[in-house]
Amino acid sequence: MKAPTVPALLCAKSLDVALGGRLILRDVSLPIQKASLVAIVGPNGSGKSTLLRALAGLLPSSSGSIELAGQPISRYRRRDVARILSYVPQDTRVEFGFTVRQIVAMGRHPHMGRFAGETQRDHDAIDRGLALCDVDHLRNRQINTLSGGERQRALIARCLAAETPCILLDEPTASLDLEHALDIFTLARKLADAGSAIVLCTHDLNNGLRFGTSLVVLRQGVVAFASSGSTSPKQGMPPEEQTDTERTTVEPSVIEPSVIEAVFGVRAEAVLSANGTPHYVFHPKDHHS
Amino acid sequence: MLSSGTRTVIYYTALLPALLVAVLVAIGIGSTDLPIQTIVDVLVSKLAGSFWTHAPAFSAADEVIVWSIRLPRVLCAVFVGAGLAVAGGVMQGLFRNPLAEPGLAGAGAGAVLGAVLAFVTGWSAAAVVSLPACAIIGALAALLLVYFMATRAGVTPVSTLLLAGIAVSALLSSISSLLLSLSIVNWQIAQEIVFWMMGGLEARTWTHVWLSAPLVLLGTVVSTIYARELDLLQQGEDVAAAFGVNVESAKRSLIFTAALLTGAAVAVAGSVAFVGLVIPHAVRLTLGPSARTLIPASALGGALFLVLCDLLARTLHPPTELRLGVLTALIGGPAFIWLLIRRNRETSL
Repeated sequence: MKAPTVPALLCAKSLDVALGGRLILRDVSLPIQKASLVAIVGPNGSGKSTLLRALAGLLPSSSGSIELAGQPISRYRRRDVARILSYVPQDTRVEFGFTVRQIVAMGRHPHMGRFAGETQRDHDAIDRGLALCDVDHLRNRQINTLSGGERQRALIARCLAAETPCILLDEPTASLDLEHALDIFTLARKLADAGSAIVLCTHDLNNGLRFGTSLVVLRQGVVAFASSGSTSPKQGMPPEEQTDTERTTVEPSVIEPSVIEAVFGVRAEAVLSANGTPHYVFHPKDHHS
Repeated sequence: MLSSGTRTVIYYTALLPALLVAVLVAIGIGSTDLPIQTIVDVLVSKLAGSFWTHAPAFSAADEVIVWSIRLPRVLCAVFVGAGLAVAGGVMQGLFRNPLAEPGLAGAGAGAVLGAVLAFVTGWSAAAVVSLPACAIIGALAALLLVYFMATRAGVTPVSTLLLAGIAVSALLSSISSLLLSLSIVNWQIAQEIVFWMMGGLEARTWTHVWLSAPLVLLGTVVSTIYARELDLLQQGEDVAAAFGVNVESAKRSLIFTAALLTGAAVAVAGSVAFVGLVIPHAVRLTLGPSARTLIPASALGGALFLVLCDLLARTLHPPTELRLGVLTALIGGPAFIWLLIRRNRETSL
């Protein structure tokens, strides 16, 4: 007998998604719990962004489903979805010069009545978002004058202002330098530790491993690897043949280099950094040293 | 740098009295100049009605000039300017492009064709209301055509809307030109059409005020109510949806509101170029892009701008009136070029 598991806040179930007639995601299952940071890692075109948009209910599934708090997300009104999950897209450019305060205040939209202005509660939520993401000092700056890292933090602050238990981040570190990328990973982990469910797409396998509470590797729209906390079947193994132990004992530190090579097309060498965190060093596949 | 709240307060403190003064001056100046006192007396006596107990200090001719000739004309300028500026603000937000204009989705060309049909069929001569009514119907019909052309499975991509709008606008404009060229033999009708296409507010009556005012007020209120949706749509449709906007329904409401505003404005004034492009853009540079501020402030700015333009149009070269649309284009064209250069400089920085 299996022990009753905590129902996932957000859950992809055998999800297929097609875009323009082409199947982008195939049979993806991914439960997302509160107080976790799920890192979705994969090369370009592996379907990370598509998976994130599908999880946000922004794309229809061609089979399978996304469940939000136990109900199919397609049955929700947009406004009700927006009270449970919020989203930062990959393309963060904004044409018009909204101030950071105005951008963050947009997160309150699903909580505000059509004719209502901002209440004290809205003000507080906005201020909290600005403070937690350390952009309070930028509140009157125009968003399109900020650096990439500042802009990313402002957009995460908008999610916090929305007070959603789940936050989806699409490649938040893609255009950032090392310092600002680490800032964002640290912030995401801090939010997860404080109880949020964070899903984050990234190219960055090492930081995904280091900061994620669980890790999913996508390859051509299929889950190629899923660490603890995820119940996706391992490649080539139907779920019914998996035992519970196999599902839950995979540690992030033991992604087989062969899996990395198959997914990313590079040769991976596992090393341990001084503080014991697992780390991979990558080499060109056909170049043996 | 002043905060946007302070700037908004300064904007209204400066422009509301300016609009009032501009309206009074525009009523006072013309073929017969009237002193402010006479204008105020006429307005008070008209508005206070039977409560007015003093002996009138103005002649019957003054009353006719103020109340029946100049006031409706100035009010038309107020509502046309406001309507075009709000429509432009909505379209710029919707298309995520600060250089979008009210007629972009076909409503402008549709209104013109509707009016040309009213001239050609002779309906415009039959009743004052038929010309503006035809223009509004034309605007909405053109938008419906564009909207259904651009919609697949309930989704209307803004880029498709833009392309369909350009195509339909070109087609409808060429039909208007065809009808115009066919009616050249009847010079009187052709002249009316040509004048109307160049925009103008001569001989506008209270009928025109009552036609445009409710539509412009309604459109401005609806656009302001949709302000948060408009702001979120500018962040991209995925973001808007993720933060609770019903994207397709919001786009539909906003674009039909913009078309109604455009139709109402073109119906009363003919084609008046650049107001809907330059005014919201200039307001955005001053007060920022947030629609809750931008939309009402654009209405005020557009009203003031068009009252002043119409005053210039009828006083610059007496006794001939300049065409209003020509004048706004002469002012708005260079302003537009300046904004373009400024924008290019900003993006290249």
